[in-house]
Amino acid sequence: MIRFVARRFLETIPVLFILATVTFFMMRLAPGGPFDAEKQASKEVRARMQAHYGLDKPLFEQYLLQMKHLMQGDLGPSYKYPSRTVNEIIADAFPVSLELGGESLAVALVLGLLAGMTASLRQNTFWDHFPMSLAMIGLCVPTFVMGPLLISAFALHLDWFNAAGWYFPRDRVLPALTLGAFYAAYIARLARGGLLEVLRQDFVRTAQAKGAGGARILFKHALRGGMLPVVSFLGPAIAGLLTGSFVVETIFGIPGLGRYFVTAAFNRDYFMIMGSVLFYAVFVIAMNLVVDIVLVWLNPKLRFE
Amino acid sequence: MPLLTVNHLRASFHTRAGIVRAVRDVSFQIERGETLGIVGESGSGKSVTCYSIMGLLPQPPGRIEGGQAIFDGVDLLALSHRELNKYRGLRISMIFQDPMTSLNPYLRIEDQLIEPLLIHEKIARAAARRRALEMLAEVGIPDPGQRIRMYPHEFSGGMRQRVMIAMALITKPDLLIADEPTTALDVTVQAQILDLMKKMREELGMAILLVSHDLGVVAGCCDRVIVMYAGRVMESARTGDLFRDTKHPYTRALQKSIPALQVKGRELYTIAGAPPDLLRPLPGCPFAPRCGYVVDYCAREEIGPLEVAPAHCSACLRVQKEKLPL
Amino acid sequence: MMPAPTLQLDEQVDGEKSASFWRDAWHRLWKNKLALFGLFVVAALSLVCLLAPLLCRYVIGFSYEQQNLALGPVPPNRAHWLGTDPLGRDLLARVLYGGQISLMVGLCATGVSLFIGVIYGAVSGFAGGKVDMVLMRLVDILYALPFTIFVILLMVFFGQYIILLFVAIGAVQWLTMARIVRGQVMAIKQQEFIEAARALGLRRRRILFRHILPNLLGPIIVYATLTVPEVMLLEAFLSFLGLGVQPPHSSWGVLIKEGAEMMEEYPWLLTYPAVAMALTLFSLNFLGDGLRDALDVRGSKD
Repeated sequence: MIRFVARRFLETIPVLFILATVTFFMMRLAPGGPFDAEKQASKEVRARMQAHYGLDKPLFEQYLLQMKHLMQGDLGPSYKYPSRTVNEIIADAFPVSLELGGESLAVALVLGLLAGMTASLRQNTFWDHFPMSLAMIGLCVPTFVMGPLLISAFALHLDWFNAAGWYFPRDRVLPALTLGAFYAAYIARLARGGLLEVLRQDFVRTAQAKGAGGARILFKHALRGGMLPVVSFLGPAIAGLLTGSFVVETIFGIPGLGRYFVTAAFNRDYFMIMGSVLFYAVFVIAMNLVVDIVLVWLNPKLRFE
Repeated sequence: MPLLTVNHLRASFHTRAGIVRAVRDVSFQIERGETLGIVGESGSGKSVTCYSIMGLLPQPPGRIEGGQAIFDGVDLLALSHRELNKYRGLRISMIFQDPMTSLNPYLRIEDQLIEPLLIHEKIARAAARRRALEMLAEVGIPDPGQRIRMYPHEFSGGMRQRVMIAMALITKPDLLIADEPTTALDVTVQAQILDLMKKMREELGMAILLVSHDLGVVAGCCDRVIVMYAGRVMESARTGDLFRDTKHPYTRALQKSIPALQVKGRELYTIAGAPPDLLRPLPGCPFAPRCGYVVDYCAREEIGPLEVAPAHCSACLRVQKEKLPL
Repeated sequence: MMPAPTLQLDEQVDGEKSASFWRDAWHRLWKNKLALFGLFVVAALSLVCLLAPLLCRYVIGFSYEQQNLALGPVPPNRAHWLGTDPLGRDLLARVLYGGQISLMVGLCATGVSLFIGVIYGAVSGFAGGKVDMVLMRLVDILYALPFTIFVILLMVFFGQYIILLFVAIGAVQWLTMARIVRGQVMAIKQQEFIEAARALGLRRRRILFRHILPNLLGPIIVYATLTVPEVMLLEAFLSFLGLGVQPPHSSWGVLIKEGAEMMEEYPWLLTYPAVAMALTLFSLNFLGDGLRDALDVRGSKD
C-alpha cells in the first residue's frame, strides 16, 4: 500500500513539471499579454509594469524563474488583483468550489445510485424505464440550460430559493442540483449496468441456493461488484465537476475558483492561470489516488497486482 | 415416504427462436439417505431439472410448465420465493459445476461460509465462525484458521470445490444436489472430491442428487441412477442393475463410448448422429434417429418409463413390448 | 467485465444458414424501437440541416444572417415559424445553420478522437508488454487531468482557428476509445479461437477480416456513436464561455447560450435550439445504447 502511494507520488512530479512547462510556453506564445487591456495607461507605464513583473526578460529566463518560484510553492502575484497573491486567491476561492463540488457529487451519488439500483432490480418495468428516461434527460441537457431552468422554476416562479448568491445553506441546493444532474444521470446508468452484470453472475445463483433474500443478495453480494464501474467513473467525474463548476459559478454568482480561472484566462493573468492549472492538477491527481485505493478495497483481485 | 418425489416435471425456455423444451417429462424419487445419480449428455435436461427443483431457473426466459417436486410433503414448485428460501440452504443445498464463478470473488471465504448459518439459524457470528472452521477442517482444507480469511481466487480449483461443499453442508441439509461437481476439475482432484462427498454422506446421512455426464463418476457413488436424454428419463435402476442388465439402447451406447473400456488400436466408438433439436421435438422416441435397434413404431408412439424388471424402469418401446435383450 | 469476442461462423449447418454476427446484430437492432427512433431522428435532422441553404432559400424565405431590426424579437408566427431574435433574424434558419455547425463539430471531433484513440489503443494492445504498460499508464494519468481546462486555454489563446476546435475537443475524448480498443485487442489476442482459426488453416488476412475486425468494429462503432453527444455538449460548454464558434457563424451551443440569457422575456429563443440539441443528443444516445445491446458490447474497464 505504501509502495503504491509512493509510486503515485513519484509519477506525479514529472507530470506536474511537464504540465507547468506546457502551460508556461502556451501562455507566453499566445498573442496578447496581461496589460493589453489597460488601454488608458501610456506606453511608458505599461513598459514599467512589464518590467516590474519581469516580463521584459528573455523567455527562457522567465521560465526558469517561474520554475524556481513554483518549487518553493510561491504561485506569484495576480495581475488582475495586484494587491493579492495567487496563493491567497486560491486559498479563498477554492473552499467554495470544493463545497460546491462536494455537494454536487453527493447529489449525483445519492440520486444516481438510487435510480440505478431501482432500475436494475425492476428491469424492463416502469421502475426501470422511468428513472432511466430521467437519466437520459439529465445527460442531454447542458448545465447552462439546466441552471437557468431550475432558477426559473424554483427561484423565480416558486420562490423557494434565491436566484443567485452563496450566503445561506439554502443557496447550495440549486447549484448542487444543476451541477450534479449530469453526473447523477451518468452514475444511474453505470450503476444499473454494473448491477445487471453482477446479478447475472453464477455466485448470485449460489447465494439464492443458500436461501438469501433479495435485500441480502443486493447489498451483500451484488453491490460490491456492481459499484465498480461507478467508482471507476469517480475519477473523471471529479475532473468534470471541476470544469462544470466554471459554468455553475458564473450562473449563480458563486465566488469559487472556477470563475477566477476563466477570468484569468481571458485577462492573460499568467500567474493566476498557472497557479490554477497546477492546483487543479494536484487536486485531481490526489482524488484519483483516493479513488484507486477505494477500487482496490472493493475488488480483492487487484490487491495482488 | 420418499424424501423427494418429482412428478412429471416439465420446463422450457421461451426464446426468440422458439420454445426450447428442455425437460419434457421427468419423474423420480429419492429416499432419505439415498444417492441418486442423473446421467446424460449436454442438453439432456439434467441441470435444468435441478434448477427447477431449487427454483433457480431464470424465469424469463425459463418457465416451469408443469409437474411437482414434493419435498417432505410440500410441493416446492408451488412455493413463492420467500417460502422457498426457508428450504434452500437449510434443508436442500446445491453445489455447482464451476467453483470459481460460483463463489463471490469480492467476499472472503469466511463471509460466504457463515452466510447459510446467519440466514437460517439464530446464531452469533462468533459461533458461526467456529462452525465454519470445523467444516473447513472436515472437508480437508489445511490450516483453516488462516485460509478462512482468504478470497476465492487464492484457492485452487479442488480447494474451491471443497469450500463449496463445506458451505452447502454447514447447515446439515437433508438433501444435497450436486450439479456436475467434478466436471471442471482435474482428474486426480475429481476422485478426491467424490471421496469427500462419500465421507460427508456417511457422517451426515444426507441424500444426494448427483448430476453428471460421466458414467464413471456416477457408477462409483450412487445407489440408483437415471439416464436422461432430450429432456426425458430413458432408464432408471439400481446402479449395479443398470450396468449389468442394461435395458435401454442409449445406456448401452453410453457404456460402449467409455474410451477406457474399449479395445486399443481400434477406432473409438461414437454414437452416430447429433443430439436432437429441442426447439422442434420429433414424435416418438427422441433417440430413434440414432438408435441401433430402431423399428418403425419407435418414431411414432409416445414413450414413457415402464417397470420392466424389479425396481428397474425403461422407456424403450422395444424393451417394453418385446423384452429386447441388450 | 471483458466482452467475449466470438468466432464468426457462417457455414451451413443442417441446411440452415446460421445467423452471422452482423445479421444477428442488425436483427437485434431492428427490434429495438428506441434505437430505431434515434437513428431516424438523427438521420432526419442531419438531412434537414444539410439542406439548410436550400431550405432557407426556397421554403423558409429567410437566411440566418438576414437582420430585421425594425421587427425585433417576435414569438413564432406565420412568417417566422420559430420566431426571431432581437436582431430580427429568423430563428428557424439560425437553428438549421447552427445544426450544420454543431453536427459538423460533433462528427469531426469524434473523428479526431477516433483516429487518435484507435491507433493508440491498437498499438498498445498489439505490442503488449512494457510498451503497453507505459502507454496505458500514460492514459491513466491523462484520464485524471481535466483536459477541458487546456481546451479552454487553447481556445482563449489561439481561438480564431476553428480547426483547433475540432482537434481540441477531439483530444479530450480519445482516451476512452484508446482504452476500449486496447482492451478488445488484448482480449482477442488471448482468445483461443484465433489459434483455432489458424489450426483450421485460415490465411492471416482472412483471420484479420473475418474474425478480428468484427470484434473490434463493434465497440468502436458504439463508442463513436456515444462520443458525438459528449463532444456536442463540450462545444456548447465552450460556446457558453464565449470560446466556441465565433460570429457570424453560430452553433446550437451559441444559440442556447443567447437564449438562456433572454429566457424570461423571449423563451422561444431558448426553447427551440435547446429542443433541437436535446433531441439530437437523445437520439444519438438511444442509438448508441441500441447498438451496444445489438453488438453485445460490455464495459471497458480492464
